Amino acid sequence: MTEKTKPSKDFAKQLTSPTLKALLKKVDPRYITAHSMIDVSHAKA
Amino acid sequence: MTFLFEKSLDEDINFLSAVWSQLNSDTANISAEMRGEKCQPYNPWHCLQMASKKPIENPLLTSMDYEKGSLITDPYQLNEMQELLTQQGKDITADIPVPPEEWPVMIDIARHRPDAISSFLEGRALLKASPFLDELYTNLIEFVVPLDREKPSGYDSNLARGVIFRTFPRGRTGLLAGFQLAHGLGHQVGMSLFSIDTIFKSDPKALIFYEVRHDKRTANHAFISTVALAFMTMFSHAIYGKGNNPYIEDEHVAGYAEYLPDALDAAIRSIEYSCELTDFGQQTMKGLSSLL
Repeated sequence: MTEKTKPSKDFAKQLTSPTLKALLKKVDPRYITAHSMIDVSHAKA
Repeated sequence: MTFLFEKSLDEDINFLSAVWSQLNSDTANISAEMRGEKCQPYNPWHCLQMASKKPIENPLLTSMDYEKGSLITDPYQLNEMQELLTQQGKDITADIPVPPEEWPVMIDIARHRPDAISSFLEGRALLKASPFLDELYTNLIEFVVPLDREKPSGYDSNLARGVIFRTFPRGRTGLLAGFQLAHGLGHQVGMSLFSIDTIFKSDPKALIFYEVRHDKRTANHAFISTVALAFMTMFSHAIYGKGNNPYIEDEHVAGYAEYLPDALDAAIRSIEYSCELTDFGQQTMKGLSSLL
């Protein structure tokens, strides 16, 4: 993928809510990938 | 006012996009450290690499070239993905309730299923009816992988963040594809929220009664399903207008409830009845309720 296809806006800077800004600091990818969650839509349909 | 987390949907877009930028950048960094290589731009297979602690050796996947948000139709890339899903990436489909071989990657989509490609394009175009869904899809989704199954279904995994795996059955319309994309986007967003908050004070793995399907599923599964239903509801509101009860023949959509917001209402009720939520979990439920 080329850089031009990635979103360039700094979304964190656009945030105005202190609560959401604080939550952003808690982001940790290790938690989510350790959490092997798969969801299926209409698997038996 | 409608919002998912706080203030407005615009604020929600910035929040989710910032969360994902951070997640993707951290994942790419950890993945590069693991391989002892220079950091490359995020690629969804970095998630699998990080979780399995095993490098993916296939350069066609690790340096995958794709247009962000597109449907993958290159047979070589699709073939490599099918190989990955049956070997190193089999955890991606480990929990699906049907044998993974029943819905392999549709490798020959470009040659044999132009209708499926058109359905995807129509669905993606319809998603633009909702500025919220359109912008989130643009910012978050890396690509869509077509599956070969004559039933509307699919899966989404946090081991491939930003990928939507979906079927595009013959004779189905772009409208179904739009609902499928909204659903997949909702799954992905729902899963990503667990990277910032536990959502539940009670046991997230406890089995709860999920009224929408009249089944029992874990609390976190129910939560992710609820976010997906919320995104389908937003899609429906954008196409048909809030408060209208559209006639949708396709059983994939109609199967939830005669009126989609009723299914969302039941999903929210299932969680609120059985679970104790964190402040952020409560806030999110309040936001989801504002869509009704």
